[in-house]
Amino acid sequence: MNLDLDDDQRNLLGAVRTALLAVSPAGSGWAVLRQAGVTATLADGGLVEWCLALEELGASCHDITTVRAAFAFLDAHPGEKLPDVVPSAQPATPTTDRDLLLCAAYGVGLGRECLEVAQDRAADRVITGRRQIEYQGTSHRLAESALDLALARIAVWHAAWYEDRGRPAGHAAPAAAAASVAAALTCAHTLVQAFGAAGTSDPDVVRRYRGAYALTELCGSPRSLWQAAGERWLAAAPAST
Amino acid sequence: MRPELDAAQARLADEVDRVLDAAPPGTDPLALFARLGAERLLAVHYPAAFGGRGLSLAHHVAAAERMGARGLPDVIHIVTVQAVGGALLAFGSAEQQARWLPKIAAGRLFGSLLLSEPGAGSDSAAIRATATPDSGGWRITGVKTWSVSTDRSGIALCSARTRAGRSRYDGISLFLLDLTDPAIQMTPVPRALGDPYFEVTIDGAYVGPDALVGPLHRGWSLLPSTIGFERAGFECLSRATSWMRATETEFHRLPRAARAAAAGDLVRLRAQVAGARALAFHAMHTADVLDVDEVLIAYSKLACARAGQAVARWAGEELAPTPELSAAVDEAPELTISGGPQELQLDLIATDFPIGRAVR
Repeated sequence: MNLDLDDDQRNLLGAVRTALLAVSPAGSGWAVLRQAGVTATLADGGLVEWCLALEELGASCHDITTVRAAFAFLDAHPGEKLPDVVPSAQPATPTTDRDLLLCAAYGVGLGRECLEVAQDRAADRVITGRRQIEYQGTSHRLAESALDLALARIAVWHAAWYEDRGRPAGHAAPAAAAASVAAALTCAHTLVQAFGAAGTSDPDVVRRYRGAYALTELCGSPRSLWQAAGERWLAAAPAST
Repeated sequence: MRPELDAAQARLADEVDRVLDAAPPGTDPLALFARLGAERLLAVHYPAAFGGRGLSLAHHVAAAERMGARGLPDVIHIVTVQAVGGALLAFGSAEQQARWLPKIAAGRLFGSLLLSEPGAGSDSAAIRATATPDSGGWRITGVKTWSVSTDRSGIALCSARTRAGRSRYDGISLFLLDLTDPAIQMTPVPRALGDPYFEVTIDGAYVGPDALVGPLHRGWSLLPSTIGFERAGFECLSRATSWMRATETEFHRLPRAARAAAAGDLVRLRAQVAGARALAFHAMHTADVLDVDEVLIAYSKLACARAGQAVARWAGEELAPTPELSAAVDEAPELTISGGPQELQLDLIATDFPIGRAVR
């Protein structure tokens, strides 16, 4: 029982990160990954690999449309091993558990980027003679957010791992999405707070903040996702209990 | 990545079950530890020569988790096998290892930590206890507090100042004390919530030169490894898991409509416990006896403690009280206090660059 990535997964991450370095500020991370041939590798991978890539997209591009581009790519490549178990979802939202998990992975990446930027800002900024990160009001908020994010990533990875092995837990995908969206929102708020008044006008901060809320439009609110997960879990619980 | 026990870990957990199943009902927990020790299951990560099986810490925690799930008191096991035994394994002399580790691994000797002092809280460097040279050995004097399960222990790992030191971290040494020494008195500190702590008064207890564990004057640097496992939060995880089970049992007794309304909360709590478990196992998977990632340990401890507290609080708010759930509510605050308060873990996480490095 561990969270280690295998060599292939680490290589994939390296390729994704290298490719994303070439994305221009207004460019599409997804298009760059396609041009670099990374998406072809992903087409042979499992959901875990897709989630790893989507986290990097979330961390690097801040472009929520890449998630939809990933859905479209997957749909254009039939034969992949990924399940499609929620056909009744609304068209404008993720239509499968697979899609929900990709959104969740993207949200983890977005949250990660928010926290790293917030931490850099707090480490550099001096307030009344002390670095901002030395104030526990800032450092503990960063740490609390980082813990939420770590747990969300684990939920995403575990759900994807079981999906890849054909043993999906019915409630795992919405649960992972709930944890991810909640963590991304928390991290985005932490980012704005770390920047102070500047955070309400800095375009990069505002883009990330709005990106987190765009996740709620794509996946649903954390509360609704937890409830959906709960309903599935309850439906699968033994009748005697 | 693997979200479940591997085959070897699962076999160990099954072995624990078989030993415990074979014991007569009502067997004293200390006797159960001895039964597990006899099968070399109590400290599988110790070398075979010291009563273990020479396996990894990750294997050990799989067995230890099952012991906790079966109701054995984790604190005794964690402090004895990991903290005291781990310190001997890592820093003890060959003679100390040969003398003490087989007894610990056999479940026939238990140990405590005597690190904190009155008024110092979790500041383990704020040490006033002294060890002065005497007849080739040492004479130790001081007061230690917040020690757990000390009444069941035969030995204790104790920190003391052996010189003034060039800094507050210098001049601290670790000693192994025999708790049956009449110069050592322990007084229970009753608590409304949970088992008592013990305050231990050491009044000039004499120890021989063989009681020194690790290098003289440089014991401070050993403490993170000594208490690292404790700080991974396994005792919190065990309680979180057990409280989650009790909570689910009561949840399923709720009327259908109430269950439907609260199902989302239940899944959220289950996910929190599962995530904490993954972090705790990963922390041990990446550790060895001497070396743990302090930041990863901080995530693990915090996640385990918070998971237990979240479960206990939800149960306390939403469910009818039962003896187990009431105990959970009582014990929950301690989870972010003992084994290093949460403020220490939050500081470690926040100042690790880039933030989150340790958990990806």
